[in-house]
Amino acid sequence: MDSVFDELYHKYHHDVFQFLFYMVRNKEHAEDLVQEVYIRVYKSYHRFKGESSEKTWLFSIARNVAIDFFRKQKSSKEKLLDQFEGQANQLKNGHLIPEEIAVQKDEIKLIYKCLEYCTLDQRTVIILRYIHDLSISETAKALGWSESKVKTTQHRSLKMLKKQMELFSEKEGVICEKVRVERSRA
Amino acid sequence: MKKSGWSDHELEALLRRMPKILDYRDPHDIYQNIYLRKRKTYVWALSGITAFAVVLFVIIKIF
Repeated sequence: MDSVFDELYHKYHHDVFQFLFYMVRNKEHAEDLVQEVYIRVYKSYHRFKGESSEKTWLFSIARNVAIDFFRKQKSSKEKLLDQFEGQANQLKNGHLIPEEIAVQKDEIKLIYKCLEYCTLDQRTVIILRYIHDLSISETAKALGWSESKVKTTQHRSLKMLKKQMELFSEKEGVICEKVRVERSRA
Repeated sequence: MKKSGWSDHELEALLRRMPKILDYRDPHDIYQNIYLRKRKTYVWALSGITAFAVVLFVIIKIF
C-alpha cells in the first residue's frame, strides 16, 4: 500500500464511507463508490492546495461521486417503466436496511426512512451537518456554496423530514388504531 | 412513536444519534481493488493510443 492511501484510509475512510452510505442508502454501492473516491483523489491530489481542509475536500469529491452514481442510475432507469421500477425499488430498499439501522429504536428507523424523501442537496446537508457534525462554514466549503445557502437548505430539509415523519407516524397510528378496533371486536 | 410532531431541536438530536456505519473490508483488499481499477483505465488508454497510432500509420502509408 502506498503512503497516500495509508494516510487517507486511517484518517478519513470510515467518514467518507459513512457519508456515501447515507447518500446512496446501500452498503454495497457505498463500498464501490468509496473506491471511486480514492481514484479521483489520486488524479487530483497534486492540485489540492490546502485552501480547504482535507476533510471538506474529500467530502466534496465523495459528493460528486454520489451525484454521478445517481445520474448513471437515472439514465439506466429511464429505459424501464418508471412505475414498475419504483415499485421494485421500494421493495429492494425495504430489504436493504442494514443491521446498524435495524437494531435502532423506532424514531431513528423512521428518520432513516424519511431521509429518502429529501432531495439530494437536502440529504447532503443533513448528513454533513448532523451525522458528521460539520459546521455551517465547513459544510459550505465542502459543497462550494455560500453559508446562507447551507442555512436555507438545512431549514428546508428539517421541515421536509418533519413532514414525512408526521405522515408516516400518522399512517402507522392509523394501522395501530385499526388493529385495536379489530381486536376489541373479536 | 405516538408523537404528532417533532421540534427542530428534537430532530437535530435524533439525527446526531444516527448509527455509525463502518466499512468492514480489509484495507489491503480495498487497496487491491483500487489498484486493479487504476490499471484497467491505464490499459484502456494505452490500447486507445496504440489503435490511433496504427490507423495514423496506415493512412500515412496509403498516401
